[in-house]
Amino acid sequence: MTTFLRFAAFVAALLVVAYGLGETSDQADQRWLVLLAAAGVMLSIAWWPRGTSSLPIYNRTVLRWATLLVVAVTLISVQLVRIQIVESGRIAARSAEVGDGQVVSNPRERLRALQVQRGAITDRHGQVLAESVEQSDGTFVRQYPNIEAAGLIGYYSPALYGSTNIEDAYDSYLSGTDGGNPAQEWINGVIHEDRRGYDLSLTIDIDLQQKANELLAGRPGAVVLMDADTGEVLAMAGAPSFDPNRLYANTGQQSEEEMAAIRAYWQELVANPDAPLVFRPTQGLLNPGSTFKTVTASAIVDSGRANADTIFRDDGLFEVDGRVIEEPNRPDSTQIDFTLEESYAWSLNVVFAQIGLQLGSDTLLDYAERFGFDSAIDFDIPTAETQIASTRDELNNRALLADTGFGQGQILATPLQMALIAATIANDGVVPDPYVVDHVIDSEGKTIEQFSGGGGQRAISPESAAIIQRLMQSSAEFGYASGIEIDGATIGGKTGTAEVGEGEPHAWYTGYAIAGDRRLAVAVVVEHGGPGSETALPIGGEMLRAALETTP
Amino acid sequence: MKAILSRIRFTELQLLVVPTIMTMVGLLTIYLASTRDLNWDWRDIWVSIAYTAAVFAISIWFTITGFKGDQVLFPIVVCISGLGLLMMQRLTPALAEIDESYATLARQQLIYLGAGLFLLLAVVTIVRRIGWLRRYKYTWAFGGIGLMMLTMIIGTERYGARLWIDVGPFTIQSSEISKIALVVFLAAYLAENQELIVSTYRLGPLRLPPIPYLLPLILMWGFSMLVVVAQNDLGTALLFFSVFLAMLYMASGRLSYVIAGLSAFGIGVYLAYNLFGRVQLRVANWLDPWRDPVDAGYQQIQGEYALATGKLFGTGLAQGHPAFIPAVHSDYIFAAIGEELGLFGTLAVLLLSVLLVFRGFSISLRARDSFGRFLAAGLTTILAVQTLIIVGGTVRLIPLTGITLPFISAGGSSLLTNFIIIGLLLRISDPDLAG
Repeated sequence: MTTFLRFAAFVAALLVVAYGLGETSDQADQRWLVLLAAAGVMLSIAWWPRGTSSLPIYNRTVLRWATLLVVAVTLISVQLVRIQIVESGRIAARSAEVGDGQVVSNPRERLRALQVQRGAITDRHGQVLAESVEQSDGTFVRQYPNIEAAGLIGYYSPALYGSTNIEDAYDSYLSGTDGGNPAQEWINGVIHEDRRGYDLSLTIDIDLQQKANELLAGRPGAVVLMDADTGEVLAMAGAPSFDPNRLYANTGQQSEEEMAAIRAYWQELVANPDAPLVFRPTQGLLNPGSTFKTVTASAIVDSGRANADTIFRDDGLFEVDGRVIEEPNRPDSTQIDFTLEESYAWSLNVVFAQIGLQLGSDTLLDYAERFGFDSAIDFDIPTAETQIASTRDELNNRALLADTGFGQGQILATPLQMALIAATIANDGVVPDPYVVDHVIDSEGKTIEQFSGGGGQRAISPESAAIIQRLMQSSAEFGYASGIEIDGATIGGKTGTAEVGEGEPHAWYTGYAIAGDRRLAVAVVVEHGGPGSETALPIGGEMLRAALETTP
Repeated sequence: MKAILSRIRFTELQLLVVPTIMTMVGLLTIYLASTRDLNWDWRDIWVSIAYTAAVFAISIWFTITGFKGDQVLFPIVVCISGLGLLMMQRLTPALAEIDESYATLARQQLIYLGAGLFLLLAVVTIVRRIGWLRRYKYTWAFGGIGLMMLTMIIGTERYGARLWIDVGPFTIQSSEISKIALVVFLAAYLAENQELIVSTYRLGPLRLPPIPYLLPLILMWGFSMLVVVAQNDLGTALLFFSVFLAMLYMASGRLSYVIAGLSAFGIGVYLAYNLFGRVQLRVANWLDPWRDPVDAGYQQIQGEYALATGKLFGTGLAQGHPAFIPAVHSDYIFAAIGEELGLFGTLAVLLLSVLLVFRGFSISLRARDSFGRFLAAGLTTILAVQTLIIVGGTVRLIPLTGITLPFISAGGSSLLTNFIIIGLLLRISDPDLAG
């Protein structure tokens, strides 16, 4: 009986420890400490000295005291196994921001960053965007010979500000801690073999990237150009940008003055009201204005309630629950009946307000979610979570639902999200999975990992997509999105002019070009840029033209 | 001839081989790692050779003098302090890069190690009988407490605590010496009054412990606790308390004393937590050092980084970066071992401590009289509890309190005291010893 009890206590102690390891997230989590104490009690039961009744009191007490000490040592050993083996990776890599953008991180990682040649980052044609260059003292310095894609690649500043975007998300490849043959990695670690990081090849075309920056010309805004078929991102630019060379800092490499200069540059970036450190294509949340009408149109067509020729009424004014929507976009104030095609091409707010109400909040939300709204897009770098309304219930307000129908209201979208909407239409209704890191290369030039966009999720049927394509092409032919002509290519587009309370509205353009088997989609936003057709559309046109001129 | 052969301490000599080889190979590793070159000379590892020579000389001296004490204890200590020697040799250049005042750390520690070994030898050789320790029990008690009070008055303050007395070029950490004095007193008092302490007397329906006989004990302990707490030295307070309780339990076999003691401890902790912001800060840091990663939690976070970096095998001696941890040479030496020697290294240290403690208890059980028994058990308990407190704090099982890891951490007073403890244990283990 006692033997069984002891055995049970021992097994229970093991179970408690295993449960604690699975359930708690930190080695000083209070629940873990309590569980460990419980395991200690069980181990004491299991190991309590027996057959001691014949011994003198003193021998008995010494034995018991020694048992308790052994239990304590066992608990410490369990904790050591947890810290040094089970969770060593998490603990060693843990870091925290301490305000002012500065981070507390494992100094060993910073030192390793000095001694390991961090992998290079190149564009799709092998142009070097980031590389680690060896110094005379054998340490490495991170350099960015081409800063056109600075926002996308992010900065790398291990001693001060940590890292962001690709430098951060792909750190395990770039620093060589992940990706290769695990057995070889382990052997290299044991024999202290110098490690070299893996190179990343992006889907970005640096010439297109440069073109996007030139067209934005420093005005706050963003350009996202992608292959609608594959999800490859060809250009992803945000303005204003920054120079990552001026943020690089690692332990012992910079003098006091250089560190002061880096801090000063950081302060300057943080103080800039246009927020150069926010990468707008994935992190900028802006009202998309009329470009959202593509989603509303898709919803009404795909749910079978309208086709391109369905007639809607717009007499210049529409009232819903006391809110009066005025129509600013009618080409001819005597015309009252419009087909869906015409309504889309002329971006009629009154028509799309009615469509919004006709759809109802559930259907509209459902279609918005199919296009990727209300969540963060799965991408190589962090993306902001988009929204249709601040909460689902808000949309029960019919005035807001009407506003949402034509793209105002509380909608917040990233430029990447809007590019995906255009890409979905061009891609016959399937939302492509966007990606920007194409493959990982080892030091011998061998590709060790190849990424692709995957299949994508269907948002609307191919038939519906064909109808929306007709809408977008009409908009590009005779509507507000006209003015882009590229030989041999079919263009579809939609502009947006998002009213934002104070200042000029945001200028938007989303569109696509289909030429042969190439389908490209673009989204452009210029913050406070005025009418979309004047500011954003020319940029989108230039981008599509330039992209079609390049060989894939 | 046979008589002479039987006097040779073969077990001890054999057990000394592996630890001494470890210190030589370890130091060579450290040397080669610093030069990044395979050329070396015996002179480059003279420190370990001198250490090896010293410990073998001591063992041979034991043989010559016909000492018949325990043969396992000394090799265990040689192994642990050899590891400490290696860590000091390894950490000193790295620490000196940060702060030049650390440049002499390894040399100082080497001198203390030599002095410690000499003290051990002296205790074993000169103190033929331990009876006199017992006779002057109140002298030790008052001496120990007096020394600590003196520290409070004329002591030097470092790291926010007044624990050291400057004596010429040396600084003495008085609580280190006092802990032996207190254990000697406790052992003597318990041995003298053992029967009475176990007994109970009736007062009406109640069976009460013999409070008059416990009073001197409690007074002495309470007084020393007061001094320690006033000195802002929580680690030592916890150590004194545990040793007191463990000895009282071992001598009396009465669980009720332990329960009463633990309850008093609980109340004390509760009061201290509410009264002192310092205690609250320590508890908060223990549960989550990341709440203030640049200041209050910095040391614990750096210690964790080091342990987690070590993984199973460690980075290898002199291949890691333990110097990032504040006070790595004293309070956080265990994290440095974890980084460079890995889980194998940390478990080895724990295992060696367990062996040491078991040997100490076995000496205690074999001792002839109860004073020898209680003294051996008390001294062993000091080493055991001290190791648990600092290692438990390093791995965040309990709040961190600054205290040395026996035989490994830097600190002259601690090293000398611990060698005196080993000397006394060896002395008690001598079967020829008459009380």
